[in-house]
Amino acid sequence: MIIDIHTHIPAKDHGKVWEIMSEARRLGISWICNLGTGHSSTTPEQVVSANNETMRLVHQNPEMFIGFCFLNPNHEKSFLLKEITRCVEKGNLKGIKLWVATNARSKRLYPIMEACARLNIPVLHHAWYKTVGKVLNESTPADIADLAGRHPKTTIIMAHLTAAGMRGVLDIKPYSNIYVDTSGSQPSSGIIEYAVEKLGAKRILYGSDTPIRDFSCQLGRIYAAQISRRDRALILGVNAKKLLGL
Amino acid sequence: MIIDINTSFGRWPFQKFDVHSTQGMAKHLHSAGITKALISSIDGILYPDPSVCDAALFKAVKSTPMLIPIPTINPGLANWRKALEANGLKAVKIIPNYHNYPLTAPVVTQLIQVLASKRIPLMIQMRVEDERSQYPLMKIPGVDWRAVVQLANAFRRVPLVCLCAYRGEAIELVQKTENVSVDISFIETFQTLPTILHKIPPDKILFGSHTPFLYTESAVMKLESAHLAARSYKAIACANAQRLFNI
Repeated sequence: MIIDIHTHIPAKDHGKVWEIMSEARRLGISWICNLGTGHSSTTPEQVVSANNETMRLVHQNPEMFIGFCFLNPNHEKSFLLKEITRCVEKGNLKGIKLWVATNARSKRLYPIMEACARLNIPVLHHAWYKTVGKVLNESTPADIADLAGRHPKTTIIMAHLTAAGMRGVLDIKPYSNIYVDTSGSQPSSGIIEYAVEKLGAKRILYGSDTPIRDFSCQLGRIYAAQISRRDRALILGVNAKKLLGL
Repeated sequence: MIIDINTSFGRWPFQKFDVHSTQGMAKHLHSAGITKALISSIDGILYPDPSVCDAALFKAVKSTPMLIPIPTINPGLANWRKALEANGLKAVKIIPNYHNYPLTAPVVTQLIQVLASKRIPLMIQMRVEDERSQYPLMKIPGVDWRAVVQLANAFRRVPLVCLCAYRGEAIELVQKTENVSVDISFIETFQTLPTILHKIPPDKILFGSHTPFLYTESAVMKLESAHLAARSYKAIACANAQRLFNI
């Protein structure tokens, strides 16, 4: 079983959705998690619209899509909690996606993290150790580690293993409530093996960042990694299945 | 048959590679379905005189005929013409931003004039790593694609092959020139090859994995899972490389 934990499906583009589903099936991918799209200054109306699209995508294709609720922590606490209730408690989404609107150390994340702990759902948070091109408020793995330490009852999926690098793996190692996804960046060799050695395969989830990236290329790095068959199966889908209760 | 035009051998300070011999490299590539590979020295990227590293590489690959060595030339060094004296060179590689010269430098013009006279293609390493994830004290920007376009258009008789160009760069490089080709190692989007073929003709794209920096299988899967028309597949997998490098 293969579960892709990190995609940004253009849900309004039905032709593209069909293409992505066909390609996923061809490559043996059983489930695709759509994280929605947004930017650092996304308005509440845009958040609602993006989440409606994700919920519709999941509703129309429940055999393939899982969805996360995109939030901007700069919005009012009442709105954030209302959106979580609407999309997760009453809706069909299974987690929260946070990008770069706020840094992971911001206290504005507290109500979101507390709600996720209460609902037992994960937060997928962007992170990157960027040498160049760092975005305002963009989180590093050290910021994610800080967040995990303050919210030990909340499960966090840190995005972008290659971008985290060895330093990022070491940052999150002490926090067992952090998983890391393999999505994005070039398929640099060796980092999967390093992460398996330091974190254990149970804390690693396959992700692609499709359609920015290519399912095939991103799967290639998992197939190529010098790890055991059991560890590969955990990364490709077993961990995500358990985490998302599929 | 797959010919990989972008492989390297040696040590790199920021990654630990599992392959420690050229025999091991040949075995690894063969297991990934690659029949032949152009290979250059990793050590020559940072070592002050790449010809020293090339001498070791050329010696090491003598027992592995599937690996075709490509010398790295730094035209800023006084000995650069020496490398071109070797017989049977299939191409030469330059790494302008690591060797610290612009493509507009007079020595580059001199080099490309020699290559034109000898009918040898020039490979340009656009980057070695994703700039965003480089070691913070060693920031090496990618080669400016505009400078490559200028060079290519000034020397249309010399085939230029750009390695590790991003998708946007690759499109500009090919669309604005007649003699530039690109490898697939850093080009990525949903359904990479079918998508890029809307912008770049198949005779300008070559299979390159950037092994061992990147997982070889990622490039192989980009090609094998693309379900291309037979002619496009063959062009990218091997025919373009056979034609360009006479192999």
